[in-house]
Amino acid sequence: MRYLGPYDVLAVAARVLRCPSEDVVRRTELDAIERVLDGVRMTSGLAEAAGVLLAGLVRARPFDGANRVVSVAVVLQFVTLNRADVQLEPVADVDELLDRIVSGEAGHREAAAFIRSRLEHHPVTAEDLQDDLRIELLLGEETLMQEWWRGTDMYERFSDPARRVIVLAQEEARGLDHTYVGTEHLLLGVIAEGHSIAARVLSPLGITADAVKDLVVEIIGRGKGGTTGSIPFTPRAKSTFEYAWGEARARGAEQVRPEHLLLGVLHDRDGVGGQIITKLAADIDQVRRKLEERMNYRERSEALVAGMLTEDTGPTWTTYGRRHHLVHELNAVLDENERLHEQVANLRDLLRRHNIDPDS
Amino acid sequence: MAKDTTKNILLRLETGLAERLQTVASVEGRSVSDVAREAIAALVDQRRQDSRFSELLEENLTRHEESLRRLRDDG
Repeated sequence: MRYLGPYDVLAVAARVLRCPSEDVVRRTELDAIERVLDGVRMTSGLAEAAGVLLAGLVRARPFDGANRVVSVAVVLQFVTLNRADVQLEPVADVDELLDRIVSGEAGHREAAAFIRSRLEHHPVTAEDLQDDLRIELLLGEETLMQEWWRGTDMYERFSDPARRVIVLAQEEARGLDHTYVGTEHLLLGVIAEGHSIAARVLSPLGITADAVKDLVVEIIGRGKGGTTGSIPFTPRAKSTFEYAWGEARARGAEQVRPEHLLLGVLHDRDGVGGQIITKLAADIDQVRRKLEERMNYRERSEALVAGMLTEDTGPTWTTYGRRHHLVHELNAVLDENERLHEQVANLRDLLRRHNIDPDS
Repeated sequence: MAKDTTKNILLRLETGLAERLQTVASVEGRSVSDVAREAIAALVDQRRQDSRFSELLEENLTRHEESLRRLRDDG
């Protein structure tokens, strides 16, 4: 997401109020703007961020006299910079919301819900993706010298398949002569790893390695030269790891798995990986829903086996070993089951394409 | 704007930058706040000259002109 800085806000105010920049600086509560923008940076979704921005500016009243119109204009600019638009009509509803914010009856949550209901996302263009990449690289330059993510401790929280995803993502970046690993390479890594639930969800939706790679090459192109040694992660890729770890913990998993990494890529819709998924699958929410369905099914099955074992005896190393073995076996059965389901689904599609009703 | 008053500003500045501002203010015989405001205004001007930012802003204000005009004034 593109966050606004204080100069962006002041630039909007100066334009709306049609006054020179020095006037707007002199007459505006700059520290109030800083506080509101600090709150906005704590958010992740566009509607939530716009809600915090609107409620914060309306309540703090940093722009004397024309606070309401400037605040709304700032929110419009913020939303537009993030490739969306907010419908203001009917204006009476906007006025009512602003009144409620001023009186303290409504806060940023209500403002976010209001904006969400009137938000219209613009389609992503190739220029947008290139622009995103440029910004990712600019941001990346500032952090390239830092250790990736939070150091090696975090990497140890990755399961073996998730580590393979990381290694494969680096190989994909290297293969494209890219000097960084971004969310698009993580997506390619998840697909190339091939055995996870995540990879199985992507393939039937047309999000294949070839399709993703073609899109990356078409939009971003190949790098200019070969890279050796470790390739740094972009800030968005690091945020994806953070999000994946949060998802893993929320779901009671002890390690980050490839599906958690894909959830991270799906979460960052503005990242190149997220935008490529949107381009290929049209509905990114559908991809997430399908992934979560599979994950929930798998987690329930694992919990069932674990429950059965702990009912028999207390937790000992023997039961831990049995559990591990049984979960492994269960996963193999579930994998086979899913593979068969996919084959059946493909066959049914084939029959339909030949005008044959598979249920007749 | 309705009022023609100058707001106090509270800036979070790095030590180095604060010292440079202090030096400029001393040399020019002005307050640090004045020098800081001038610097901020220069950055705002820079933002207003950013073609993509200003194009989007103009499009926005044109598209929503009628709605913004009908918004109630501050109470």
